Amino acid sequence: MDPRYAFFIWMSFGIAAAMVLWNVLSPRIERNQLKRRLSEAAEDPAESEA
Amino acid sequence: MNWTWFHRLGSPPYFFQLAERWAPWLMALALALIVVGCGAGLFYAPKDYQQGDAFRIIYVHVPTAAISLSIYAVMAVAGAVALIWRMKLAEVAVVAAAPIGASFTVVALATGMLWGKPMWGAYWVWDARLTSELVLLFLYLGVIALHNAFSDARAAARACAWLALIGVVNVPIVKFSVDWWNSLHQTASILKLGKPSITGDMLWPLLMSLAGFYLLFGAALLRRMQNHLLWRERRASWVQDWLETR
Repeated sequence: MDPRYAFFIWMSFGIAAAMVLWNVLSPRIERNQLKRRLSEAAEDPAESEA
Repeated sequence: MNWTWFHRLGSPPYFFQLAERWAPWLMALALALIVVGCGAGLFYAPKDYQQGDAFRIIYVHVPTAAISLSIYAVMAVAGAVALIWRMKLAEVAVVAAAPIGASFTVVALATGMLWGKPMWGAYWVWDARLTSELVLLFLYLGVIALHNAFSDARAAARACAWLALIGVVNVPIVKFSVDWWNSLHQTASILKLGKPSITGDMLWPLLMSLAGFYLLFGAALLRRMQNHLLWRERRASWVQDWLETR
């Protein structure tokens, strides 16, 4: 690979990889938080109203 | 023709179960296509005779830019369905698609800047294509902000649906900006009517990458819609049943 362009190429693919990871992981993390929140609300109904 | 399957898609528990089954497969296929498409783009595709290796940025820039437009179009269609038929799943689709669209637009802009510097000599120019794509990012951020500004999920989704519908006017402006105005940005070479103007060795990795990023959007949308449904339907018996099985 031409070293003049290596920085631009690898940065582009790196940013895209970060976006792919974010789209894979963030819904999972959100779901785990939601599950915990809903389970806590089910144990304490007063909290679910809040 | 029997439309029962289509009407059943409008039911939150049915949709949730369907997404639960399909999302992991879509995600796996998406990642495989992205790895093969981008890998072939980096290491297999021949150098461009004018741009040399710098052209390889096409394998992430073109798919993310094209999908950033498609996602907004999907949001506008879902917004129209939400406003006309008050369908809960369409409301959820509008708000769930916005962060995904914003992430694709950020990558399209960033990779465009990284491609622009070695080719044009500047990271940014206030060109019609770049500026309208930046407006698209602001529209996505506007939908996200609007959704967070309301405490009532239904009212928030309806406001987002209006913004998605109004903002869709920007989609053809982004797409045709390179034809309508003098632009540093090149005109369409792949996503156009007729034959693409790049060689097959360069084209197939790009098509794989494009398909992979589209599937990634589909899988991420299903997952985010599931999360929104869980929260909005948290008092429904199907959510309680689902929680008990976890």
